[in-house]
Amino acid sequence: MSERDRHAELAYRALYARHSSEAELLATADAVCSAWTPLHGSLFGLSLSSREVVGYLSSGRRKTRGFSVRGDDLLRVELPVEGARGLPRGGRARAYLLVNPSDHMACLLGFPADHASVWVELRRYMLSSAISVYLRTEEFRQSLLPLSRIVRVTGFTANVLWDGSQRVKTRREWFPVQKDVQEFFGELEEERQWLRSIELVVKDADQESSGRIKRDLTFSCQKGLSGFWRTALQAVRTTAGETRGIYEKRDVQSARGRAARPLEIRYESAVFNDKRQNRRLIRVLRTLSDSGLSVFHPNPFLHAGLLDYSDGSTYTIWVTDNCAIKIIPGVRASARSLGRLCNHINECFEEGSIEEAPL
Amino acid sequence: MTESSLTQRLEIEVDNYQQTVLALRALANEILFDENTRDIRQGGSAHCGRRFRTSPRNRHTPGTNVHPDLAVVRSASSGILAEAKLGFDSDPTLFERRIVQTAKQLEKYDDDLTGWPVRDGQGALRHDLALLVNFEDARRAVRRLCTLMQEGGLALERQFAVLSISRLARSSGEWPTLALEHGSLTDSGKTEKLDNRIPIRPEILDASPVFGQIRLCDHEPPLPLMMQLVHQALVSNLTADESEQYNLEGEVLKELSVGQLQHWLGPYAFKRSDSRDPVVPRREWIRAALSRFIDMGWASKAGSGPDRFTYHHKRGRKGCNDPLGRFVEVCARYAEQAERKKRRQEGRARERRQREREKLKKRHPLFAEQIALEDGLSP
Repeated sequence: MSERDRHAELAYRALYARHSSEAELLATADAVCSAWTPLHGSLFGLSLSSREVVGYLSSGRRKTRGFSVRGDDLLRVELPVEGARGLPRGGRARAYLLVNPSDHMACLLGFPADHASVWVELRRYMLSSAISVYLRTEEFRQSLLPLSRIVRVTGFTANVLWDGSQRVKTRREWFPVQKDVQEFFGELEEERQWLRSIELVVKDADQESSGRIKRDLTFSCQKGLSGFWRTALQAVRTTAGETRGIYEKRDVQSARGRAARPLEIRYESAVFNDKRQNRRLIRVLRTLSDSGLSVFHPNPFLHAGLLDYSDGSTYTIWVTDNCAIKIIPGVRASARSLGRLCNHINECFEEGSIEEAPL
Repeated sequence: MTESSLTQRLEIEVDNYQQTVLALRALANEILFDENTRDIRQGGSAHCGRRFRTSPRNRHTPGTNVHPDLAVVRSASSGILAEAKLGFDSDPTLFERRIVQTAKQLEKYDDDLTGWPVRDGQGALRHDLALLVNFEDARRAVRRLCTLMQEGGLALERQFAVLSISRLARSSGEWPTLALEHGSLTDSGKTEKLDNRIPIRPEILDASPVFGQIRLCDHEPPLPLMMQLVHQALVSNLTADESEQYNLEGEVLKELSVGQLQHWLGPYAFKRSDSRDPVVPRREWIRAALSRFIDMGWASKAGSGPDRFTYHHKRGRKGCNDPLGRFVEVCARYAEQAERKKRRQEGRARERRQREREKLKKRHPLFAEQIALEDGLSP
C-alpha cells in the first residue's frame, strides 16, 4: 500500500467514524481534508426535515434501492453502488447529510467518489424534495464581496461568447498571483464572461482554506474545510437561500388567481437583434437533459413549448423583445424545474438577470 | 407531394393554426379588457364556435344554427361576433369565392341571434360584427368587401369592422399586432385603440387567467399539434409515483381513456359556459392522435375496454427532445404513404378500366370507334 493509499484509508476511517454533531464532523473534516483527500459537497434546497428524510429514504423504492440513513440531526446516508471506481470500501458509498430546517437548505458531504454516487442517487430518488440551486455571476459577486478582506481568487472557469456571438466557449484559468475579489469580478464583467466555477483561498484568523465552488453549488475543498464552510460556503448559501424563492409557485396550479406568473431572463444588450440568436437559443434549449422542445414559430419572433419530462413541468417560451426571453409556466411547473431551465439558459446561452416579467 | 414538402406544409399548418388561436385570444382579450380597472370585465365572457340560432327573418338561413368563430359578451346588452379568415388564397378565383362566402356568412350573423349566454329577462343583446384577417390580405379583402357593399352584395345593419393581425417590427422587438383596417365598433374607445394598432404581448396573454392556457379553437387542429398537446397533457398528468417510476426506470406505462384525456385537454380550449359551447377537443381528434401514437409504437390499445389506451412514456425515444418536430415528420411520412397508396390504387383502377375497354372493343368491333372516343373522355 502506497503512502497515499494509506493516508486515504486513514482519512476515510476518521471521517466516517461516528460523529455526534455537525461541529465534531467539521473538526474531523478539517483534519482529513488535503490535496490527497479532498472533500466534495453539494448545497441544495431540501423541503424535508431530518426526520422526514430518514422516513422517506427508508421506505418504498428508496428502501429497495438500499438507502440506509443513520443519525438524528447529522445524517449519514449509505447506499450500495455497483462498479463505482475510487470507492475505498468498494460497493458502498457514504456521505453526510447536514439539514438546516431554518433556511430549507442542506449539504451533502463526503469523499469525491462517495459524494458523487450518493449525490446522483439522492437527486434521482428525492426528485421533488432535493432541489438543486444555482448562482449567477452577479450573485457570486454579491456573496463574496463582503469577504474580500479574507478571500482571494486563485482560478476560475467561465463561459464567453465567441465566433460572432454564435458559440459559447469555456475558458479555464489559474492565476499565478491570487486576485482580489472585486478586481476579479470587474475583469469578468469587462470581458463579458460568466462564471461556471470559482477557486478561492480563504485566510481567516489562523486558518487557511482553499476550495472550488461551481454555479450549481457543488464544491470541493482541499484544505481547511471548516474555514471554507464558515466563510465562502456560508456566504453563497445565504445568497442561494434568498434568491431561490423566485422560482416558487409560478405555475397555474399554485398561482393565485389561477394565472401563471411569468419570469424573464433580461439582457443588457439587444441580443435578439440578430435573429440567428433565436436559432442558437433553440439549439441550447434542445440540450437541456430529459426535456422536449416544440418550436411553433422560430423567426422573427420565437414561440416554443418546453416539456420537462422529469416532473411534467411545462413552459411556453417567447422571444418578442430583443433584450429578453420570456418563460411562462404552464399548468404544472416546479421550482426545481424552473431553476434548472433558467440556469441552463444562463449557463449555455448567455447569462442575464432573472426577473419577474412585467405584466 | 414529397415527404419534405408535406413536412413543410404541416409546419405551416401548425403555425397558421397557432396564429389563428392567438388572434382569437388576443381579440377576445382586447374586447373584454376594461381600461379603467386594467382587468378583464366582470360578467364578460368569450366563446369559440358557440351555437346560435338565426331568426326567421334571416336573409340566408332563417331558423338554423350558426357557429361564429368568436362570440364575446361585453355586458348583458352588448357583444361582438367575429369570424377569423386567416390565409386567403392568392389565386383570384379562389379568393373571390372565399370573399363571397365570407360576405354571406357575415350577413347570416347580422341578425337577432338567440343563444347569447345572458340570463333571461335581461333584454336583447345588440352585437357588432368583426372580420379578422391576415395583414397581408387586409387591403384586398377590404377593397373587395367595400365593392360588394356598394353593389349590394353585402348589406349589414350592425356595426362592422375588419381587423387584421400582423407581425410588426418595432425598435425593441417584433410583436403580433391587432389593427383596425376598415369600419368601426360601437365602442369608440376600442375603435380608436384598434385604429392606433395594439401590439399583442403574448407573454401577457399567456399569463392571463382567462385566456392563458388556450391552444385550441373549435376547428380541428393539424394532427401533429394535437399529438403534441396529448403528449404534453399525458406527461404533465403523471402521478408522483408514475413520475418517480419514469425517473428511476426510464419508462412508465399509463393506461387511460379518451374521456380522461379530453378532461385533461379541456383547459387548452375556451371555457364552456353551457351546452351551446362546443366540447373542445372533440373525442375524434384525440382518437386520431392516439391512433397515430399507436402507429408510432408510442401507445397501444388497452384490453380493459373500448376507447382505452396505454401510453408508453419512455426516456430517450427518438424525437422525444423535439416532440412536435417528430410528430410532423411522422404525419408527413404517413401522409406521403397514403398519397402513394392512393396513386397506386388509382393507377390500378385506370389499368383495369383500360383492360375492360380493350375486351369490349374486341367483343364489339363495330362499336370500337365509339369505345375509343369514350376512352378519351373518361378520366
